[in-house]
Amino acid sequence: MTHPADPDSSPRDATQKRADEPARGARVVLGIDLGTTNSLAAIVGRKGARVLRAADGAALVPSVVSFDNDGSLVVGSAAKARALDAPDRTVYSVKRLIGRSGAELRDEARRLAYPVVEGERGLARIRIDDRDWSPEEISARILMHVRDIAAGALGREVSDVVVTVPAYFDDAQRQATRHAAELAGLNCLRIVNEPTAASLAFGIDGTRDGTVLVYDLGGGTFDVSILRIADGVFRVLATAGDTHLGGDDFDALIARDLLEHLGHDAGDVVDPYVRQAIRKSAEGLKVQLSTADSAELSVDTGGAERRFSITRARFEELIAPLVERTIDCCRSALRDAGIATAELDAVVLVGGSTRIPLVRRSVVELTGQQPQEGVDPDLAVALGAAIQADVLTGGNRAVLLLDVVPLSLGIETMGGVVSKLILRNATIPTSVTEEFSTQVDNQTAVDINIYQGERERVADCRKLGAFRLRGIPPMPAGLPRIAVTFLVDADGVLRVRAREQRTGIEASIQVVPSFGLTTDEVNRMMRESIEHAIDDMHEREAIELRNKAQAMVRGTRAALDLADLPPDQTWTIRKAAQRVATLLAANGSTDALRAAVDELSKRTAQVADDVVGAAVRKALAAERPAALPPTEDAR
Amino acid sequence: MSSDPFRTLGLAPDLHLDRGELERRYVELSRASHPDHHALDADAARLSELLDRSAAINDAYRTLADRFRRAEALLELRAPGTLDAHKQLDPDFLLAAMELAERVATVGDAGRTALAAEVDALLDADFAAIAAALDAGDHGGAATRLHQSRYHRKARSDLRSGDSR
Ligand SMILES: Nc1ncnc2c1ncn2[C@@H]1O[C@H](COP(=O)(O)OP(=O)(O)O)[C@@H](O)[C@H]1O
Ligand SMILES: [Mg+2]
Repeated sequence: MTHPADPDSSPRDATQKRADEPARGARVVLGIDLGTTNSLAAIVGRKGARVLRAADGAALVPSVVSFDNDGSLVVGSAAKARALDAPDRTVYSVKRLIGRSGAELRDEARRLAYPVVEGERGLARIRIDDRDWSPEEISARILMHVRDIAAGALGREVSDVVVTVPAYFDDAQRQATRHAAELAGLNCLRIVNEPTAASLAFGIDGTRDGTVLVYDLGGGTFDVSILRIADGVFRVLATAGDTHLGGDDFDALIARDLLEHLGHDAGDVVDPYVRQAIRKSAEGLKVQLSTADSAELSVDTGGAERRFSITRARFEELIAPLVERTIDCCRSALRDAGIATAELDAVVLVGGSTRIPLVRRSVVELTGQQPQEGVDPDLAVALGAAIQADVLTGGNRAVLLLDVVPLSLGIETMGGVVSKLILRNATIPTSVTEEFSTQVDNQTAVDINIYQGERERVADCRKLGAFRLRGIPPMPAGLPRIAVTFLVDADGVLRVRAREQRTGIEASIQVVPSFGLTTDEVNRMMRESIEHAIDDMHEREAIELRNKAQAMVRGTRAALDLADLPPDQTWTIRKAAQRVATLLAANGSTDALRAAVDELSKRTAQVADDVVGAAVRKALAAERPAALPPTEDAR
Repeated sequence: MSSDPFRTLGLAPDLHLDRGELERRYVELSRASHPDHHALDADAARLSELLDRSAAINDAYRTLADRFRRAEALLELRAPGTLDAHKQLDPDFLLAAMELAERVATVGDAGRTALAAEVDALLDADFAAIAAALDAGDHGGAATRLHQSRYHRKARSDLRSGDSR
């Protein structure tokens, strides 16, 4: 491995320099891990990257959005809490739907408890009452919620973000994620690949130089990336994965066993309440099996109680083929990187599903080494996104991220064959220019179909979209020379530009995405989201109220411990505080919480003077010996 | 290739360039023009320019890091158009290449390593011949051998994707 000649560019030097650096500008950019199951935000502060937590201390925000009957919605843990009561109005794992068509999702949709329909251009939409929601809009709600929690933790507004996506997300899925950020009113400075972000969190201290395999198995997606870290340069050598493989699929396998045990076929269960309950139970069993040899459940099937138990061995048998698929991906990434397992210096596991013993065992078996301790599988991606955000805002110039495009890009040529223009694992940004011409005289437009995938035939690749080149000057057939540049930018997103070489005319390009929103649709949804801004205001108020309630409970309890109040007064205040705490824990209605908070303020206000007075007296009493002047000299 | 990857990376056009120097130049130039390092201080036009520049650096590096593609680039530089003019290959060679492709497609796990070694030897011979031709100023000869080497490179990569299990 080689090193840059300039020693100033090593990350360690940079860290030292940073300590005496002038205070950085006011720009705050969040790193957001927008997960299938959980999302969270992090930021780089003076002492390095840290996760921004909600007022109750929770780092992970469930990626769930639940709609009330009156059209309002809740997000995060409040939404997750409603999953069993309102399964058909509670949207989870929406990341599995983003950038995909309804047809591609038919099997998937049958497992979900909420209704997925095919909307415009066959795209997947979530139907709540008479309104169809795009996965982008749902993701936007999650992003807004995470942003609000971050703003609460920071005590200031934020609108600049870096958002992570699975490395194996294709162009459509990346574009859709960008649109989600846009719909959330966020300025997305960069899309970063999740395993790459995790490697940043792992290697940022500068002591981990070497070749690293990052294995990321979450709720809905699997990624593996092979990276080389040297002197602050994080270079992805290869990546592979499956955007439809994760803990959700393990849950589904347990659910099938469970239903079979109850004498049902998984396909028959149409009732969303039952589907949701089964899904939740299955996940609970799965999590238990990460530490126990067997797990058990009792099911109330209308009067009769039935027990279901599953052993870890059975679970492993069920998921073995899926785990093997992840290992195959690892092999192919290693092969593409030209790295033998013996050359790996470290293995990093990320994602909740890497807590499963079979998963860990399989990775150890493949790589011949134990995974790194000290990388938090839940937080590493968000921390890495924050580090990248810091790089983008100029806070850390020593780090350079060189990522790759996960899947080859090409265009349709004669006979339905894809001619590849950009090969997978090419370092981004990357560009290729191809020349096209016309087939008939005076042709002024050309249609070009863009595909992404590794296979030879268009039928086996995903069509990203088609674009029409217009404005070609009329000329005999074959004479125009139209140079089309395909550029994959640093987000891994394709941009297309065209130019007629003879005349220098910039031909205009209008890409119609096969799997995402058009610009018009994004604009329309933005307008609609302004109409929903009122709801958002309510939601924001709710968050503020919760934060305030939390602080009050804490403050009141601390004050009561200090103050000398008559027992009956202490008791009424404690009771009021307890009521607030209970409502907070239950995640109940905002109105009830507001009433309880008001009640608590009233109670404490009555005795505030006493409490403060008593607390101060007590505190002073404790201080008195030290506070006394030494002698009578002062007289 | 229309642009000169050696110039993009500020390296002297040389078939036997120093790998360490290539890596150093690549990282240095990437640091200077990567859009990540200018996300806030550059306007849209400048960012688009940096994006193109970064892409050019990445593409030049990819070309020069591969000895055969490096030879192609050098040949294009010295004698533009020669590569295109020498696409016609000897029928005997094509026959041998087809046989090789057939063997690659049907090889079992047992024979794979030996076949890979055989193909590696063909590639080394190709490269030595190309280097000699370029040294001697025999551009046509270098072009023909470069075209031939593509079949061997394809065989090598097919063998690699076959050994996943
Ligand atoms: N202890 C555990 N054992 C097994 N699976 C777990 C455990 N903890 C979390 N998971 C699973 O991990 C997945 C969520 O992982 P996470 O990394 O948060 O996902 P994502 O990145 O998709 O949001 C879920 O499928 C969850 O059931
Ligand atoms: Mg994740």
